[in-house]
Order: sequence, then C-alpha cells, then structure tokens
Amino acid sequence: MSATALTDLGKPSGYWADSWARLKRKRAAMMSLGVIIFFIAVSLLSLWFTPHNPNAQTITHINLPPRIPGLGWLGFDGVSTIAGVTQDRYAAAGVPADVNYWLGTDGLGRDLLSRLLVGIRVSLSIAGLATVLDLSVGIIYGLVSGLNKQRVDTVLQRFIEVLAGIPTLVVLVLLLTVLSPGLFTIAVAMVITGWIPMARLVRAQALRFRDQEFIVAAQALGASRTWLALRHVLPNSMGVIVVQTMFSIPSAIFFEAFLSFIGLGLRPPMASLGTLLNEGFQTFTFLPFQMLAPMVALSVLMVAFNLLADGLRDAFDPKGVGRI
Amino acid sequence: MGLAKYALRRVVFMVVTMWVIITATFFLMHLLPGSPYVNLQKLTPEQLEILNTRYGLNRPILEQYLLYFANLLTGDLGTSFQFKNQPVTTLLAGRVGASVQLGVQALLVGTSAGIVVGVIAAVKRHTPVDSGATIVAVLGRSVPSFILAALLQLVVAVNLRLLPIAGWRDFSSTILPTLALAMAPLADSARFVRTEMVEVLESDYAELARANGLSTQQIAWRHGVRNSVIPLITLLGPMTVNLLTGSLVVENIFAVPGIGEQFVKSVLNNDYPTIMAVTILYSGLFLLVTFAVDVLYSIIDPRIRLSGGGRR
Amino acid sequence: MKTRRIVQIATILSLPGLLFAGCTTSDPGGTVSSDAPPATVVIALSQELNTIDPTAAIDSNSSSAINQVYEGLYRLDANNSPVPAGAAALPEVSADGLTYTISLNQAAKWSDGTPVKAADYEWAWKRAVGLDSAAENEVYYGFVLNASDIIAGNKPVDELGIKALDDYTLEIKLAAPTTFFASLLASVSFFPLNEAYVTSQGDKFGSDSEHAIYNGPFVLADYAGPGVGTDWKYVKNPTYWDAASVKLDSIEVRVIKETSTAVNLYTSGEVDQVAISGAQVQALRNDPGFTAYTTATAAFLGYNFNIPAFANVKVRQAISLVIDRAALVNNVLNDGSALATGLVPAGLSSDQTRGDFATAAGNPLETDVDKAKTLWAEAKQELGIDKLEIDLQTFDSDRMRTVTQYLQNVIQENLVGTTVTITASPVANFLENTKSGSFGIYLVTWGADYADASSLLDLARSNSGSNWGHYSSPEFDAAFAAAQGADAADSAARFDDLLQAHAILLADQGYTPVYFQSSTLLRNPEFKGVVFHSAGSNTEYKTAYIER
Repeated sequence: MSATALTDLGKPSGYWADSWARLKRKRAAMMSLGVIIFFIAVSLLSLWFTPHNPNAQTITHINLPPRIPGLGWLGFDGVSTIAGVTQDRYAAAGVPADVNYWLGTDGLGRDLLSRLLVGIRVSLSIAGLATVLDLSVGIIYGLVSGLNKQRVDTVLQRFIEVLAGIPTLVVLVLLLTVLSPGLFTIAVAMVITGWIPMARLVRAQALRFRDQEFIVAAQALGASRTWLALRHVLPNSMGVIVVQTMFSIPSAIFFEAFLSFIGLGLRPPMASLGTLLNEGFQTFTFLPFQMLAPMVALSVLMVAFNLLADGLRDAFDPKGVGRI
Repeated sequence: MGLAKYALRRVVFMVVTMWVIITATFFLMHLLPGSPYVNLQKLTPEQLEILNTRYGLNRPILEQYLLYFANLLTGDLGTSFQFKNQPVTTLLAGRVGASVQLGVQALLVGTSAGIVVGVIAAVKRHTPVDSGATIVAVLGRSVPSFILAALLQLVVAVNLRLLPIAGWRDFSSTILPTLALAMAPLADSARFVRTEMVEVLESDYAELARANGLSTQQIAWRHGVRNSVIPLITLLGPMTVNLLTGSLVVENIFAVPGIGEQFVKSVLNNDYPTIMAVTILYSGLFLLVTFAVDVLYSIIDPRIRLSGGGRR
Repeated sequence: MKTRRIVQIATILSLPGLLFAGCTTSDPGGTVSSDAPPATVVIALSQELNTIDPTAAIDSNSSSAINQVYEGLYRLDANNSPVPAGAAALPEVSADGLTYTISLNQAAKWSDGTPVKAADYEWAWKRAVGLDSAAENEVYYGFVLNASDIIAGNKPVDELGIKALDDYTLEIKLAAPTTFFASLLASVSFFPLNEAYVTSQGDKFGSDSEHAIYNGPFVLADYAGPGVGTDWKYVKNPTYWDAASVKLDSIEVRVIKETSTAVNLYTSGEVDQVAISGAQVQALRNDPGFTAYTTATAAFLGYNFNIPAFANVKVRQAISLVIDRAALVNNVLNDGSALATGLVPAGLSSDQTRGDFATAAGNPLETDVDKAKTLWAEAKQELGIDKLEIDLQTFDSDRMRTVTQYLQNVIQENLVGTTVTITASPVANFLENTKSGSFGIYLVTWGADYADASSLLDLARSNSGSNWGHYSSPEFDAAFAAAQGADAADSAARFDDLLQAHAILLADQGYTPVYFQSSTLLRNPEFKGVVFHSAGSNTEYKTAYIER
C-alpha cells in the first residue's frame, strides 16, 4: 500500500488542502473558475435587476443593432448595414437618446442583453438541476452497487449496461414530445441516462475501498454498509465526484441548447441560451449580432467549465489513480 | 473467459437491449399526442374513426405491438404515414448513404487530425505549441457542432464563397458539413492521444530509448503512436453517439439528405413506423459499435474479458 | 525520416477525400451558374413531397407539385374561376343541378402518348375513394353522389356518381346541387389516372419519377421518391396539349428545410424563389424580390359557448371592438398579413354578377374602445360578475404567440376585470383541448379548402364538426341551409344567402376574425408569370417565364 493511500484514508483535510494548492497553480483553471463565478453572479442578479424588461415587447424598436454609450467607436453605435443600406437604425426608429440596447433588440423589440442574462440563468438552472439529480441518483446507485453482494452488483450493472445502450438522443426526443417541454421536464429527461457515468465512477471507488483490510475489520466488528459508505467511500470520492460533476455540467448546457435549437426544448418567449440561438439563427446572415451574443456566451461557459474540470482533475488526481 | 464466450455474452446483451429499446419506444410513441393525419384539424370524429380503422390504429395497443414485432422479425418495417405508400425500408435505404458517408468522413478526418495534433502537443509539451493545441482541443469540445456549422456556412460559403452553401451533390459540398462534425472527434482524440503519449514519453523505456540515442520525435512516432492510438478505439462508442446527435442539426443546416434530417420531422408528424425504424437503426448502430470496440479491445488487452467485462 | 512521417500522415488525411470522391452523386443537371440553359429557374421548397399520386395527396405542398405535372378537367384562373383544361368546355348542368355532363379535350395526352380518356377519370376517382386515406379527402369527394357512404364502407365503389358515357364524355352525379363544382374539379383529388399504366406498375406506381406518366404542362424528372428525393425537376412536357403556352424549359426544385440556408442561397443567386416567414420578413421587406400574397387562410377567435360569459353576445362584441386590427397587422406582425374584414378573405370566391365575396361583404369590423367598455360594463351587470378569467388557447407558432400576446395586452388593458392566460401548445395537444371543449377562447388559423365562401362559413353551422365552441344561431343556419339547399342551383341567390349568413355571424361575433394570413416569398424579379391561387394548389408555373 502506498503512502498516498494511507493519507487518503486518515486525513481527508490534507488531501483537500493539497488539491486546492495544486489547483491554484493552474492559471487556466483559475481563470475559468473566475469566469464561472462571474456568470453565476450575473445570472443571479438577473432575478432582480436587468437593464430592460426581458419580456417587454416594444414594437417600434425591433431588430436594432447594439448601441453602448462610450463604445461607439468600436462599432456599438447603433448603425448597421442590411442589404447594402447603412443607416443609424436608432434614429430611423425614433428611439430616445437615453435608451440604449447594449446588445441590440430582437424581432419583437425585446432587449437582447436582458434576455441573455435571463437565458444564462435558465440554462445554468437546468444544467444545475440535472446535475444535482444525476449526482443523487448516480451516487446512491453506485454505492449500493459497489458495496453489496456480488449478485446484487451484477444485476444492477446489467441494468446499467442495457440502459446505456439506448442513445440519449432518442430518449430525449421522444420524452420531450410526449411531455410538454419546460424547465423541469428537460432536466428530468437529461437525467434518465445522465446518471450513469456518476454511478460507474462511485461504484469503482466503492470497489476500491471495500477490500481494504481495515474496512473488512470494521465490518467484522459490526459496522454497517451505510457507515462505510458515508464515512469512508463518499468523503474520499469527493474529488472524482467533483470532477465528474464539472464535466457533466457543460454536457447538460449543451443538450439544453441543442434541444431548444431543434425546437424540442424550451419554447419562446422563455429565454434560454438554446432558444436565443434558435431565434438568432433565423436572421444570422443579415442581423448577425442576434446570434453572436448567445453564441459567445455559450462557448465561453462551455470552455470555462471544461478547463476548470480539466484543472480539477489534474489537481485532485495528478497521477490518474482514480481514473477508470 | 475465452473470446468466444465473451463475444457471445455481449451479443446476448445486445439483443436484450434492442428488445427493451424497441418495446419502450413503441409504447412511448403511442403516448405521443395527436395522430399521423395531415388534416387533423379539419377531420370530424367520424372521419377520424374511419381512418383509424383503416390503419389499424383502433386495435388494442398490445395487439398493435405484437403485430409490429411479428412484422419486424420478417424484415417488414411498415409503411410511412407521411410519405404515402413508401415502405420505411426504402425511405431509410435512400438516406442512410449520405448519413454514413458524412459520419465516416467526420470520424476519419477528426481522428486523424486529432492524432497528429495530440502527438505534436505531447512532443512539444509545456511549450506554446502545446497550449495552442490545447486551446484547439477545448474549443472543439466546447463549441457545439450546430454553432460551428452556422459559422462555417456564413463565413466560408456565403461571405468568402469558397464552398457550396448547402446540398450534397459533389465532393466539395461534403466538406463543410464534415468539418462541422469533425471538430468534436478531433478535440477528443487530441486530448486522449496527448495524455497517453505523454505517459509513454515519460516512461522508463522511453528514457532507455533516449539513452540509446533516439530523439523524442522518433520515440513518439515509432513507439508512442502504436500505444496511444490503440486505446483510442474505446472512444469510438461515445464518438458515434455524438456524431448521431450532431448530425441532426448539421444535416438540416446544410440540406444533407440523411437520416438525421428526417428524424425530428417524423417525431413531430407522428409518423410511427419511421420513428421506430430510425430508433432501431440508431440504437443498433450504437450497440454494434460498442460491441465491436469491446471485442476488439478485449483481443488487444485480454485483461478486460478476464475480469468479467466490468472495465468501463 | 520526418518527411516520410509527414507524407504518411498527409496520406491518411486525404484518404477520406479519395475514398469518397467517387461515391457522391454527381450533380444531376449541371451547375446553376452561367452554363444553365436560358429558360430555367431554381426554386427552394421547405418540405419534401409526400406523394406524387394525385388521389393520395393531402398536403398543399404535394398538391402544388402535382398540379404542375398533372392536369384535371379544369384549371383556375387568377380569379379562382374555372377554365377548361382537360375538359373542352365548361360543364352542361342539368336543371336540378345534380348531373354534370362534360366533354373532354381530345388533344389531351399522357406523356407516353396515350390520349386522356373519360375512363381515366372514372377509374381514378373510384380508386381514390377506396384508398385507406380516403377519409382525409372526403372534404372534396363528399360532393360526389354516394362518395361519403362508400368511404364509410356502406356502399360498393361502383355506385360512385361518375360514369364515362363514351371515350370523351363524362357524366358526374352530385350528392347535392353545387354551383361551384366546376372550380372544385380543379383540385388534384379529381385528377385522372391511366388504369392500364397504374395497374401495370403495381406497388411501384409513384415510387419515383420514372414510375408515373404525366398529362400536365411539365413532366417530373430526377425524383428519387417520397421521403428519399430532396430535389427534382419539372421539364416541359412536349405532349402537353397547350405546350405552346409553356415558356420555361425546366424548373429545378431543391428541398432546403432550414429557411436561413435557403435565404443564403437566394442572396447568392443560386435559387430564384424561396418562401420566408417571421423575423426574416421584417428584415427583408425592402428587398426588390419581396412578394406577399393574401391566402385563403383566416385567423380568428372561437368562443366556448358552454361558458356563460362567452355565450353573452356583448362580451364577444366587446372583445372584437378592442382589437386594433390595423395596428396588429402593420406594427406587431408586420409580415404581409392583412387585417380581417370578415371571415372570408378577398380573392377567394366571386360571382359573375355580384363580384368578389369579401368586397361585397364590406368591413363591419370596427375598433371602438369606448363602445367596448360600455358593452363590457353592461355584460358584467347582466352576468352578475366583475371579473372574468379567460383561458386563451392557441397552437405553438411564432405568429400565434405574437398575436395572443397582443390580444392579452389589449383585452386586459381595456376590459377592466379580465385576466387572460395564454396556453400555446403543440398542434396535437391544442386540437385535443379544443375538440374536447376544454378552453375558454381559442385562436386558430383556418384555410379554405376550395374557392367558395361556404368552405369557411361552414364553421359556424350548428352541427358542424369543426364548430368546436358550439356556436348556434338559427338565423345563420337558415341562411346557410338556403344557400346549400333551396338556392343551391341559383348562383346569385346563393351568393346573397351566404352574404346574409356572413353578416349574421359578424353581428353575433360567433367567431371574431383577426387577420388574414399572407404567403411571403423572395422571388427573383426576373422570374415572372407565376400564378398564385388562394385556394387549391397555390402556385402555378404553367405560364411562368424568366427575363434574363
């Protein structure tokens, strides 16, 4: 047994402190963490405050390009060129000088920045909800499967094998057409097959521990499996669980965006990154800003989560011991 | 256990899984609201009754299921509701070629490019080249294929006019859709190969080879590639799934006459036979790929099947 | 060493290219740029064809395509009036209006040279009513004697009211007198089929463009079959009896499901026509190729008469009076839709002596918020309520959502005490709710099936299956019954009956019309001569031409 394993079992605090120190050294991951925190903060803020009302339609202000006071020289001056005609759309629509739409407006005259903030919040909520559900189901299933008798484990694993054979896409498409789409339904639909990687991971961890001598000794003395699960397996798996969670969040964000893009996810006027992309895509050629904003937001979020997850994985598990 | 027994076990699993999928899809499908009739809004209840009787949709659902299954076993996948008189098999056969070509092209281009990128990143690790390669890899995995497709179409086809905007006519029209779908496999392969290659380059026998005078480059290409590329086939399963997902939108955007383009439409139109057929096709494909990968890998690394196949 | 490796890698990378360069289908008709023959255009469609069998076509997309390559007894002109095509002249109608005798155009031929005979019509119709999908077309066949009974399975096919008296004379018996039957005959459901050819093809009939023969201005070519073929061509038919009027040599059709891709193709000059909707219409309004047509589709509100509030005429009138239809159409929708003047759009049906129905009906729909408030106050007193919750249902589409949000706004603002809840569901769910009566008000679009006002007015008939809210007015029923019964053979009297029925409906606000839907396209300004019909097959390319 190596020295790392011993410290694993006895001093989880040292493990965490070490990992955090390792993470701090990775610039990309730290920057990503900062970006993510920023996004979460901004989207929480959107619950109470947005530049304009995201659902208010101002019919006379449709399809306006972005205008940010002070940044006009960068191109955010409310002037756009459509079909060869360049003009100040704000002046043409009679918009008062103090009303600025930082990212422009959509086809119904709604402020895109406000909708983007709400959209980020909705996408993160769905991803968060789906991940929490994945976690709960996956961890419990993995613990039960890994810490039980061989036969129970085999049955549960066979079930996973069959379930994993179903392409997520098919399940999603069918479920979302049968149930009416909504925030909760999409999250649940994603969980149907999303919990499997977590379950496998936790089970692998459980299998690692159950054969340790001191565990066998404790069981002989009457310790229950629950104690074993909660007191030892779980705390020591937190590292890999966190990493897996960080990887599954971008997957959830992607699926929501994908489903809404093909029209099976959330429907307008609900704003989510997917619906904004869908709406913007229709007019991409002549009103590019309507799709660029959610596109950049989505990509930045995904990149940030992926980089953070990579960094976390290297931080928690530098030698790749816990990897399957 | 021996190879044959392992393979047999896996086949049995595949069949069971397929059966579960078919049954689940069938019943789920009949929960879909609406019916497959185009004129539904204007049909009177009597007309609806007549149509349902003619098409056998009036019978108890269990009877419909058994009938469907019986037909399935003889290879009859039914007639499409949407496309009158068109057997579903003809429908799919006419479209599967485009999808397969697109998928295989994307996979080949993506993995080959990914391998090259991964090797270069590993050889030049911790240099700006490595960072650059990592950026490409992360972007490839993070930017969804449909966004990439939209961007490629706008920039390359519409603005620069280098390639066709849409369609599936000559080879040049396959380039943009292939690129859009290839980025994800590229990213995944690059990451994977880099990690494996770094392990090889930092291993003891690499040290030995270096001591014997071989350069890092030579070690990488001569020994590392074999060891890092082979485990890559374990990624084939998830990659296939991602390609299936991505193809739905990419086929739509580039007007590729493939199966993905049809699938969502059939669901929205309640075209039951087509939905079932595409589900079976996708699932079957996925299961087949997973099976092939598992068997192949167990040949290469017998520890897998000896331990009972619980590797993943 | 290094170079060798690079060469190896490069080979691997180019392998897909070499492998597949030979596998893709070659471009069927050559590139569309400067090498194309002069009289050809390219059109983008957003949906594939469901079938090329005329009697099985139900959706408008397939009907439109079939109308280019097949032909029936009559075609519709720009006023939706019938013009002889497969027939030699307008029909001879018996005194009781039940028997139509039609002499056929003896110059009409199939594309394999055989003449089109009366037997072809008889055989096609009899085959049609026996198809599994026949009930979906009952709206057309129902006019023919015994057709409904045959579809329901109560009578044998031979009793269908059609008979070939000789090679070129057709006798049709109707279930009831129908003055507009001749224009009805322009629908693709009534097109002929050659028995010998179709039976010789068996299952393969219509499986692709090679397994069908055509009698229309064009023939279909390069079509791989329903569900498989995503592009095809209409090629000028040399055996067509009126080939001299057909100016285009060929039309290439491409199915592009993603509208933005299609618009990209249009702006780059690769296609000459594309249909647009929604946000694209607003952005492309000023494009020289922008074209908008008023269709025969009306959008209206339907009320649930089982709910006491909506059974009160003042409530319905109040709702209608607060809608500013002009503002809705010009500012909110801004996509070429026209404000509703009644239930029947302009250009749908006209009478020789009375003119266009919609013009004759005028515009009794006004916007008067004060009057609405007064009526609403009176209604509240009569009903003994001071609040009303309105469950507004509609189906899920951009337009519907926009309009319902506008309505919600304008109703809640002006009629004090109302709360409007909008439910936009997928079409199937929406239909379930409306057909089962679980709604307060619904907003729906309804297209006329044929070029007569009765096609839309039938909605208000008491026992109509499409009268989901159960609006019932004895006066309306009487006027409508007179039009369909007693005055059925007298076109002018009938017209007046329908006008009267329409006026009653609007005074009652049994339905509240909101707007008339438009069909918006981008069409190359050099592509001219395309005829649009609001009812039946929408677009006709027979007389189209291109001015390059």
